[in-house]
Amino acid sequence: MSWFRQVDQYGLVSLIIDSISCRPLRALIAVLSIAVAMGGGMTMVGVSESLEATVQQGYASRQVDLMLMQANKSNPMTSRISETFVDQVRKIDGVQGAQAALIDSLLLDNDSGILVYGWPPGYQEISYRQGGEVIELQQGQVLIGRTAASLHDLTPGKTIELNLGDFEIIDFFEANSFFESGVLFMRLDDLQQLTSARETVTFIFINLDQDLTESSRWQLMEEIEAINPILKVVTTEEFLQKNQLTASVRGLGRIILVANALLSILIISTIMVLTVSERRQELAVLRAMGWSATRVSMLVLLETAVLATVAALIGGLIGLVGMKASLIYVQTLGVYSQSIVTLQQIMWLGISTVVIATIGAALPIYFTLNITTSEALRK
Amino acid sequence: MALLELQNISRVYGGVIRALDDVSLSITAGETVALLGASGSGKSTLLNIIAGFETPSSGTVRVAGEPVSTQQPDKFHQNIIGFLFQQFNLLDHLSAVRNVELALFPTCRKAQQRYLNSCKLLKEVGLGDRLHSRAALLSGGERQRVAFCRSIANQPQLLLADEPTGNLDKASSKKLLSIVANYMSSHQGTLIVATHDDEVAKICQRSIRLEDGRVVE
Repeated sequence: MSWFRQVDQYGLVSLIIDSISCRPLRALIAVLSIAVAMGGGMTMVGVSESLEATVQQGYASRQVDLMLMQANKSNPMTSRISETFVDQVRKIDGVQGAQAALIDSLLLDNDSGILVYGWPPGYQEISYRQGGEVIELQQGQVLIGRTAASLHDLTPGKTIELNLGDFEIIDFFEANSFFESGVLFMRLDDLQQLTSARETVTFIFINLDQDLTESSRWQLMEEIEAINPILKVVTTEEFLQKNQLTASVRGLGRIILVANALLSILIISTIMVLTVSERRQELAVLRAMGWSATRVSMLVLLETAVLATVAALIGGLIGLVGMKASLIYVQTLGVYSQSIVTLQQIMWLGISTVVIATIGAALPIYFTLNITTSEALRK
Repeated sequence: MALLELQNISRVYGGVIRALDDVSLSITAGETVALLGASGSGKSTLLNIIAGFETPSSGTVRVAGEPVSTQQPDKFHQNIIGFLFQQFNLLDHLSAVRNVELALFPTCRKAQQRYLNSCKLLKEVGLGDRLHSRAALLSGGERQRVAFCRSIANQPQLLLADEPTGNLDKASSKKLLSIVANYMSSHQGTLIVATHDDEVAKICQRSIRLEDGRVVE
């Protein structure tokens, strides 16, 4: 092991490994508990961010760069703007395309509410395949997301009643996000008629020229908003940041991660306090040999840090596997999502590890500082 | 010149138990001294006070002319004092060589150097074949020899030993005493050893007897 001595020139690492490995069961319990706690938190954050990123990619795949909605609406689903703005937006230089969409909740079979998206005829999302042919939805026809179908026990071929109007479910809608999997899709004019919202829409999705610079993009956004003071333009990223559903999922993930990090601190702190209490005499002997309180504390801190780091690495793996498994499960519910590991997640893991090791070691270090050399003699 | 000077040292526990009562003595560099006395006579308390592990209730301890109370504890224990415990106080999960290395941690930064120095010391006391044995697996005599190496690893000016043969059989005691005596004569070190074993006292130049916390001869 001479190579290891070369690497570990100060001998601290091997001393720490010796100390940890002489209590293998305790170290294993500490590492696994923290790993599972951190892994659970990472899973939640990973799932929420993957779902969000998938929605984001969904917008990108539909070439949606901006969303035009009613200003001063804390819940964007309650936005209502005139459909006539679509034509005005299309005329602006730099805008490649604009599509209106109405979103509303309807009464399904006189029983429960269901979210419905209305898109204009000709929009490819309200079409379906039949015998290799793409057919557009006709009036009185709807597509259904798989989660909505599962929740309401509906299948293609059935007829449903929506706000007292009869509609035929033609096919499943292949949603590319969890938002749309729980939704019904119909023609915009149908939905406007059902909700008595003539020429009214919730959003206008805007597709921009790809060669626009950042500054001309900002300028264009201002130009669109200048059409009418009632209008507000947001990027899809901003929309998702403010969206209550994604914010809730994201917030929940982070709350669980923080809660689990606190739990990890408690675990490592308890275990290290136990260890330090058990090793009071050993640490006192070190003090009697001229180890300063700082050096002994550093030993305890590094032991805690090694345990926390190993736990974080295993926790990261658990988080990754948990995220994949959760997203596979989510997909069985009809919610499509890619699993995306972001740099931010890895940073969270790294920061959490440092925080857990530092705070978790504080109490044991406090106990360590109170150890006096005279204790070495009391046995 | 006196290496160690004790002036009117008293130690009272809980305001009632007088472990040491007005002890004064002086020990010169290179001297080997046996502290004799029955159990409870105050020998260990006196060693603890000299080592700076305990504070006297009154009186002054000076080592190399400096009061112990004003010395920086870490430096004092690294460079001036070596302590040999009756119960060895080894870290059982570590090997013999690692136990000795621990004493060198604060004074020698390079792990390789610490390792080589520790191996050399252990070989000198006949433990060359037990370098990597865990302390827990060593015999009592071997453990005390490791503890001795650890106590002299930094070449202290003053070696304090509290009943070093108290937990050893006769053969192991004899071997340890011979090692200690050889070391003291070759290094001209100063030794104070608390004991009630006459054999231990024989290796020392001078004996001091304590009774009920007082020096009686």
